[in-house]
Amino acid sequence: MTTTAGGMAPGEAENRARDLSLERTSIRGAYWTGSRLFVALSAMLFGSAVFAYFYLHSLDNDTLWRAPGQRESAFVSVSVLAMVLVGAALFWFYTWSWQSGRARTNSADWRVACGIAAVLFLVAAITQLASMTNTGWAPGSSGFASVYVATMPLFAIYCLAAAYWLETLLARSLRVRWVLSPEGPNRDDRIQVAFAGSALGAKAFVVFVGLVNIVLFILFSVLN
Amino acid sequence: MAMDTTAPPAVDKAGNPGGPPAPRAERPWWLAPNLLLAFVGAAAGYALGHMVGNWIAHTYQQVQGEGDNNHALVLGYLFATFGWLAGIGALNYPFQKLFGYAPPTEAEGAHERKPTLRSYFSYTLDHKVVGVQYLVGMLVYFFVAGLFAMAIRSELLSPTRHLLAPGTYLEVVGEHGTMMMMMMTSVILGPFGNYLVPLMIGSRRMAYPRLEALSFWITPASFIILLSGIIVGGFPTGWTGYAPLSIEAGQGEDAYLVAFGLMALSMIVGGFNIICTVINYRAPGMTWSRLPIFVWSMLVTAMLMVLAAPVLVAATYMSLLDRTVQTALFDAQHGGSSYLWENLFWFFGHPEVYILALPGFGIALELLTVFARKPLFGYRTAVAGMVGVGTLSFFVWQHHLFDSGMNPDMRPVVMLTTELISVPTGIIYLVAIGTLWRARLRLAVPILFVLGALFNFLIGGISGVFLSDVPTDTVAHGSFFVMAHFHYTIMGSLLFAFFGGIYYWLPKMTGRQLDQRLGKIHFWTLFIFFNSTFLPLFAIGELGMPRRVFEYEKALQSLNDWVSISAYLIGLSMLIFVYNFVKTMFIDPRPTEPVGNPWGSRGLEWMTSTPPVAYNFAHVPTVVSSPYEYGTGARPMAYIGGEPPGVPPQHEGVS
Repeated sequence: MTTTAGGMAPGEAENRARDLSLERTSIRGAYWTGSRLFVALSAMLFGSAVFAYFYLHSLDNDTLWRAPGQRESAFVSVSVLAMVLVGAALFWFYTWSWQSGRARTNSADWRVACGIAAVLFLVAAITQLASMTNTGWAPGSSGFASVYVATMPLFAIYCLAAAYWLETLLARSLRVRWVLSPEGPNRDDRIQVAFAGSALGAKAFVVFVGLVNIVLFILFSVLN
Repeated sequence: MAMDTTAPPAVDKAGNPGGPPAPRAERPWWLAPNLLLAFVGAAAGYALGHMVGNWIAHTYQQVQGEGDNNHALVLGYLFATFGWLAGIGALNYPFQKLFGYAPPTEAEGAHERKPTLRSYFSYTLDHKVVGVQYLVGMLVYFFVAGLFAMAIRSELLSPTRHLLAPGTYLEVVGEHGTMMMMMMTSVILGPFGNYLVPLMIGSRRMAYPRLEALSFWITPASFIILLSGIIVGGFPTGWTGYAPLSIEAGQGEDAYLVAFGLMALSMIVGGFNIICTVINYRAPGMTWSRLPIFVWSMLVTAMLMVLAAPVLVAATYMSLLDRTVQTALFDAQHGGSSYLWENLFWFFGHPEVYILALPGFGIALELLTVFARKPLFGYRTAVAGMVGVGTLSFFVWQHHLFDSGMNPDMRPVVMLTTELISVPTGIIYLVAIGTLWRARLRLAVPILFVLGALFNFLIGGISGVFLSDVPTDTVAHGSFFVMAHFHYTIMGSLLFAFFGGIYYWLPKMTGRQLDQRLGKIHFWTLFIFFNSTFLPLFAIGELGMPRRVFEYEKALQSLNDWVSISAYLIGLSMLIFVYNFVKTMFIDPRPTEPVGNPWGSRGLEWMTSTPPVAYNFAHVPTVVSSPYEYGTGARPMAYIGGEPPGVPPQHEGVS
């Protein structure tokens, strides 16, 4: 086979460049698809809990849907909701700013926002789990108590997952500092594309976690 | 605060971006993640989990009263799984990510590397190795579950107890049913989906190779946990795990719930990866209308897995909570309801039937065109049929509650949706018949299995129409008629298609072809004895023999003995396959003749070397025509790289 001066077959360099370009497009798409798919499957998971809530509520077997006085601690539920919503909003806003190339935003701002959001999600998860040890009622005392005890640890796991995802983004942006370049997520580099894909995926995910928290707040703290 | 405006360095601190990866120091084998370390991790995890569980719950009233500490067992299983995954190396990268490290990038010349024997026992990112791991794993799970079936049939040789105690019989039935219904969900997507999808769509890799490997390495843990249920007393609920029996059962139920939950996780992860790969990693020119029909079946199956399996995760998790922390989700006396389990379980369980069936349809249609040398009849119709089956499968689960006390007013609605699903299923069947119409079929071993699958599915499908109908279902419910029906649809179509796939694609995967004469003996014995086993069960069911009961009317003994002997002969037929497989792979490993493409397929998977190199293609191919244009004089399906070469690649092979 004929080779070029660099030891490559004719057309090899063009083919390699094409492969890399296609791979970047694929990576970008895979993060988009993956994050949305993760949201969809998580919605099915929480959908099961919501189904259990309304199913047992409507059956009210032995009039034990909810025993008197069973209510989630307002302090815990409101503080967890506030932490999750603030964390989600912070990360969403700064990632959106970076994505759209807004001049006022810079990489240090993004890192600070990402770090604070990660801590907020972590603290929300710990608060939620800690509160489960002292609800004041037995897990099997009613349908409501059972659904609550089943659902809230799941939600706490999702908060932990969000904290983990944001921490990995922060760590990556500190180790490879140029990934937060002023061009935003549009630079055509494989590492950059993977980072941007992950950040934009996390942006969708934190919004989902925020929405789940709102739904759970309504179910367990607002509805009777 | 200053912006980061520096250009990407050739090599960053991690040694990855913009340049070749920094060489990593090789660790001694006993420190690197490996199978031995995985076993050690699992044992240590189990001990730790058990200890933590005992520490948490040893003072609980129910633990002191019954002596069964479900907390300890469940935590033991979960920690063991964690230790197993850590030992095999699945948690390395998630841990490294916490410190900002990137995954290793493709090294120069990596696409030319071939997997070593060690790769097949490792956590690997090569989708083809994962495919082979899945193939071997699934065969092992299948044969173990088959042995349980032999035990069931041995007990049923006599109308009264003679081998197994009643409780043991139920345990064996539960293990057989759960293993088949749980592990076999990935019997095609695992080996063939993972191995072939990237090759068939012209991709050099999977979208999420770590998730793909994770999906496989969860399965051995799940299998061992399920098997361990026998040691701790088995589970009396069968594969459906109905409450309240599941809440009252012994510790074997924990094994069932943890194992099924883990397998659901494996399904989610595996399906997730397939979807992301098919959507994003198709080669240029691989439009949706050129996507191989097998890939379409994988995509729809993966969608079902990703959307249905989370509900199973939720259901098993809730049941475990009822058994451990004493919630009352399925306990009607404390505000729960056992119907909640039935609804959640079957919301997964019915789509699961199509998770099992659709890949079989995919293989059947894929192989029919190759051996009929005709384009696929009604390609778009077949795709619509698969999507239709997948969509409708989410609306039929309540037919499993026809006789459980559901609201009678709901029955006609569910009956209608259930009967509707036979329309897209029938469409797929018609596409198969249309492709066969006036074809000069080459009756090689793979197509024999496909024809067998079509025949069996016809019987299974027609008997299913009766069961979707409320009046007849009320009569046949819980009888051997139902058992015969689902063995025809699942075993009859899926298993036959699976073996068809093995005979067809093994030359691609290994470069070796199974002995065709032995293959034909395998097919004919399996086909005859399969029908000889399951056809009489319709009659036995109609004569009133219930499922899951080890005693029956003496008048039914002759039929039952016939069935049991036929079942043993199915086992014998499987031994022929095992012999053929071992002989071809290890005793007499001669390469496939002719090398490369023995069936003369146009498919993209046959356009790369045999077996394929690590990154599948030297360069991403460009697809220029459909894979099914047989007999039309169309140009080859694709060429490798971005520019068409002067001479198109030879891909037709020898018929």
